[in-house]
Amino acid sequence: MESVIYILTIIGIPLLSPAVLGLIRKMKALMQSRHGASIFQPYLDLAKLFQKNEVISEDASWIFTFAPYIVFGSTLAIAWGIPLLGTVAALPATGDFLVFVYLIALGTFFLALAGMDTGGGFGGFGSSREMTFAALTEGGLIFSLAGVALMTGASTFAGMMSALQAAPLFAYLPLSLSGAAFFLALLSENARYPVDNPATHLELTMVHEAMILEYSGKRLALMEWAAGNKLLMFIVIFANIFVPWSPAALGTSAVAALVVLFAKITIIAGTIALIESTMSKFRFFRVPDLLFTSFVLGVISIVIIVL
Amino acid sequence: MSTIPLVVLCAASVFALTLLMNIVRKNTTLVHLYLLQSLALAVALTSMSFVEGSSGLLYAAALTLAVKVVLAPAFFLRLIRKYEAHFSAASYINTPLSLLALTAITVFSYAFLYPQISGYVRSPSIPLLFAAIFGTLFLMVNRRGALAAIIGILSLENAVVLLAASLGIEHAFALELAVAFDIAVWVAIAAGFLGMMQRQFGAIDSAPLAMTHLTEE
Repeated sequence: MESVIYILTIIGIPLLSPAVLGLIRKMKALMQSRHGASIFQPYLDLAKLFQKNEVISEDASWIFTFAPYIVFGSTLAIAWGIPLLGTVAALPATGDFLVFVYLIALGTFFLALAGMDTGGGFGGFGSSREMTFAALTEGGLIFSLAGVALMTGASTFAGMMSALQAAPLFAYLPLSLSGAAFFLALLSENARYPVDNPATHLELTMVHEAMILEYSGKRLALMEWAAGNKLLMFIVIFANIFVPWSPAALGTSAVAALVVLFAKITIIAGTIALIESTMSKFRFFRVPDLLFTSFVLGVISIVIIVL
Repeated sequence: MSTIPLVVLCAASVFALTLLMNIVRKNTTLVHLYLLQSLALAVALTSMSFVEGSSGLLYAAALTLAVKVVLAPAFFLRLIRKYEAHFSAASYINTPLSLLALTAITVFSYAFLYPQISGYVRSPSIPLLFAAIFGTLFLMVNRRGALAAIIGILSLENAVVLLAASLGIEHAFALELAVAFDIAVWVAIAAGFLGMMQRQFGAIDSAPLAMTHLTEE
């Protein structure tokens, strides 16, 4: 059974991430009284993109060429550090929360460089906006996870999940504040509402999409897949750490843990779809308020834990 | 009594809802948060009444449910619809500074107030409720909208009642009844006051812009 869990941990996130993107789109469509595409549509889109030829600008350097591999690779490295079921991570070295934050930053850095590399106007402002948001999000992300690390005495996701098995009810107050901070960081890092519109076709309102506007074919597929991986990683961390009944706490029943994890992923995806269907995107200068809220919630959570 | 897990959870909810009240900008959301906060108080009082076998606390919970969860929010939502005051974005200090102030309030409650009292009563809910009390006071002074100030006073009362119950301060049922009656009257007066403000200044916002209509006869 352990080897099955290990294999699931390796292939789980890259395999399921397109389905989660499809699930969110389907839920949004249903909330907006539309039929919507199948939840498996992102798999078909990826398959189509992998078969297509690419158009690469003459001005593009090696950064533009290699960035998709680095971005996709960084998401895989992080994914293998997160225990999906139980407390076993495939690659424990990348399961430390600070390593997680800086691998995310590495991916964002290369994504922003690739956006600017071809010299296009949209890529440049997309990168500029993305780095502004990334810098502001990092505080909330670090402090939300630092609170959990202080509470559990562990800096790895596996250690945190293990220690939270026997957490008393009261522990979920600071955890809920950290969870709220983490959720805001999740929305910002994954270019979701109210920070960014993942479905926009207007270049002037784009942030994440503007950076990958020059990509096509296989490299665009890798970028899209990496974005899906990143979203699912954040959702899994949120589900396994900040929501009670983590897989580790459910004992040895891997099937029960899998069912609970899928249920939590569906609920979190539903929440994201609900947010995207009920509120409008924030103005650029209101986003710092939101991200500062995430940071302060993390700080308050640490205050409660430490004092 | 003060360490009943459900009561601690309710105290945590009251505190978390106070934080949210300071962040949200829509008056309707503010009223709904107040409703949830009052519901948390009613649940805490009910839980205490069962543990202690106190019928007085149960009556207080029922009154809280009737007045603060049903009557007052319905009244405020009606006022918001009547005066079309769905948004109240104005506050004296901006959101980041407000959040820093709330952090300072939480640190103050945990690091200074709780140690003063922890020799007598020890419960994780007490510093949270102190922070909630100061948080609601902050909401009252920071917001320019009159409705936010009124909600601030009512949620301050929620936090004070729960703190008193957590500290084990016994209230006679007659006193609880008087408090509930007081709140019902207060809500009615506040509604009248808001109506007068709206008619006189065209807004229920105490911002200087609205007050420029104030002229001496």
